[in-house]
Amino acid sequence: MNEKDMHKADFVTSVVLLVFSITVVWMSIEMPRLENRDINPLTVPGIVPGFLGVVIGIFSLILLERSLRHRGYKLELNGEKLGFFFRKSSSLRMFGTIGLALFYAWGLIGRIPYPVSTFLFVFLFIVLFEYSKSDTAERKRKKILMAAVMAVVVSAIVSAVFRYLFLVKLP
Amino acid sequence: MFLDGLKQYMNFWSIFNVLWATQLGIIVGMLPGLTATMGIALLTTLTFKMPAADAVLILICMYVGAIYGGSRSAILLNIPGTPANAATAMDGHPLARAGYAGSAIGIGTTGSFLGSIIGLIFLAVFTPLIGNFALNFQSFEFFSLAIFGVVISGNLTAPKDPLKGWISGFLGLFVAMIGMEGIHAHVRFAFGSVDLSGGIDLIPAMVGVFGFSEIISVMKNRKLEVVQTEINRVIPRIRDVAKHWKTIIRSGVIGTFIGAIPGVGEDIAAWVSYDFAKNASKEPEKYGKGSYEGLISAETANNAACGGTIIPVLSLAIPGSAPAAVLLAAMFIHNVRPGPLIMIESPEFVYQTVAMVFMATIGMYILGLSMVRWLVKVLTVPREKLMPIVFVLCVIGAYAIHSRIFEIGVMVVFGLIGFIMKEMDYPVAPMVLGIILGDILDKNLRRALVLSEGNLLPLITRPISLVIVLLTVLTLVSKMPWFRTLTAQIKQAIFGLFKKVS
Repeated sequence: MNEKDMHKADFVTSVVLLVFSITVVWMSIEMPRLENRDINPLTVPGIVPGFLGVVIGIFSLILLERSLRHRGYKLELNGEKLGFFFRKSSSLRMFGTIGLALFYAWGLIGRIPYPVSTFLFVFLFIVLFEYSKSDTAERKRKKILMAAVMAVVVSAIVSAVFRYLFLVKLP
Repeated sequence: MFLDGLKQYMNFWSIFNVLWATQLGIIVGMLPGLTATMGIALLTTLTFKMPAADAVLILICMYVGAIYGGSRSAILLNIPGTPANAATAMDGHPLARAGYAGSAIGIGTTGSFLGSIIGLIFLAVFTPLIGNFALNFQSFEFFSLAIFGVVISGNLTAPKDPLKGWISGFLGLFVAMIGMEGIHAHVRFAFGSVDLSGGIDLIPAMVGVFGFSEIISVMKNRKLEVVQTEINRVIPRIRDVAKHWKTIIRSGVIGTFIGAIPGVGEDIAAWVSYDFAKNASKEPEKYGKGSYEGLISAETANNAACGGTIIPVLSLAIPGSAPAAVLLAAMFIHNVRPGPLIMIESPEFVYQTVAMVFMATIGMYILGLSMVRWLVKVLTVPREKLMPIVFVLCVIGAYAIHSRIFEIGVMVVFGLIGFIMKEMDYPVAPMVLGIILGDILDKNLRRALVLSEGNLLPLITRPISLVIVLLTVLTLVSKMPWFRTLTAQIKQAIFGLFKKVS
């Protein structure tokens, strides 16, 4: 990220952090004081989170001031820039990785048997990221076959090691 | 006592464990995207049913091996396998390009070995001293130490913008506030969730921050290419190493010292040592173009830092780096209680740990100088095949310790947070340190307030606390422009006075 974009990112972050810190301080003040348990008022549960909220708030104000000084508030977001960002191959790879990971961790695990979900994840990951338009049909078939073999091996080994060696009840 | 500790590991199974764990560590360190922290975190999940002595030995071998192993990819790919090897790439890769890959690996390995030995000597000498000294620590000292830890960690891991390091550290402290607090058992920030009321466990969070976020980064970035070079003689000549003796000792001491500073770590140790070596060198112009001296300074320091990071782990229960943080968490899992009381409750464990680092160091040197050509092939494994396997291990690793699907969610969320933080130049190490120190901060601030009846003055009237508070303030202001101008003016005034006198 270049310096100009970093100031814009810092502006957004500082606003988010400021809101976060105010929320934390407010929640800490609202936290029960446990008077009914006759505790020492200096040990109320909200005292430390409140202190941390104040410190984070001060830091985010400094960050906000700095980003404002460098005109970080001029976000200059438009369709063209966003379109370019989403079309970049690095962005596609990043979103592809995150998407597949979320699909595996939240979509598959716990819903279908662990070995099957692991097989599906590894297979899809390899096939999607190794796919190339320029490959011949023969090469594509070979890649898919290799991905399937690898997915079976990984799924079987990981499942067996954790189930039978480490005695973990698989998700 | 060290020999007693060593004797315990002089058996077939311990040596077998040392060999496989160190070799695995070297491979993990070599592969960009797999860091020492991730390796230790994943291995913690694989060893949590083992006896404590075996499990901690395996984790230390992984640690020492991975920090060393990262030098391979730094030399051959110009991509440090772990952040600790970034300075290694500066001279290691130019040497490989010039056809000296073998000797660069050999010199780097020897530097790592000697650095690790220096680190373990300091570990053996200083842990009992600091442990005994820390017995004087009370609530105010622990509170100020926790604040100092995240501040210095933020300062040194984000040298260009320490503000982001401090924010990261305090966010980590906040994360530790989630769940049931330790004094009145009141649940904070759980929003009615039973899972959150148990708090955020360190291991899944770290697997996410150092594992999943690295996977995203590796997949996002361009493909890596291994230097096509003949690997010549690897075992270095004694005279080639001996001529750098001053650099080795200096780097070893710097590495250990920086490693011992809470949350700073091996990467900063390597850079500071590299900088010192360059300033002291007779041939500074060779640095960055293929200097063996530069290479050995970085590699000595990062492995010396391994011993250094374990000093505060054992004596204060505060980690010197992210991998040491996982090591600390693993020790707690195995019912080992590091901290000031360790020298009273189980002093033998300190010397056992020294023996473990010694075994790992020997294993690293032997394995590091052998199978070099064969291991280079590991670097050619395509990321498209490697990364899904790593993610599968991250998922099952996060799940395995408590068998809770919730921990997988924690891993994923922290992975995404870690990735965004890295993209925006926020260091993640202070956040991890904050998660560990949060509980210490919380309990000790409240205890201190009760003991002093709400008076904060003991923070500056108790001598140890005063020193820590002054160091914290100095760390905070040292990066401010007015402070730099002021120190420059003072320096100029003092040196000007001497010039006038002479």
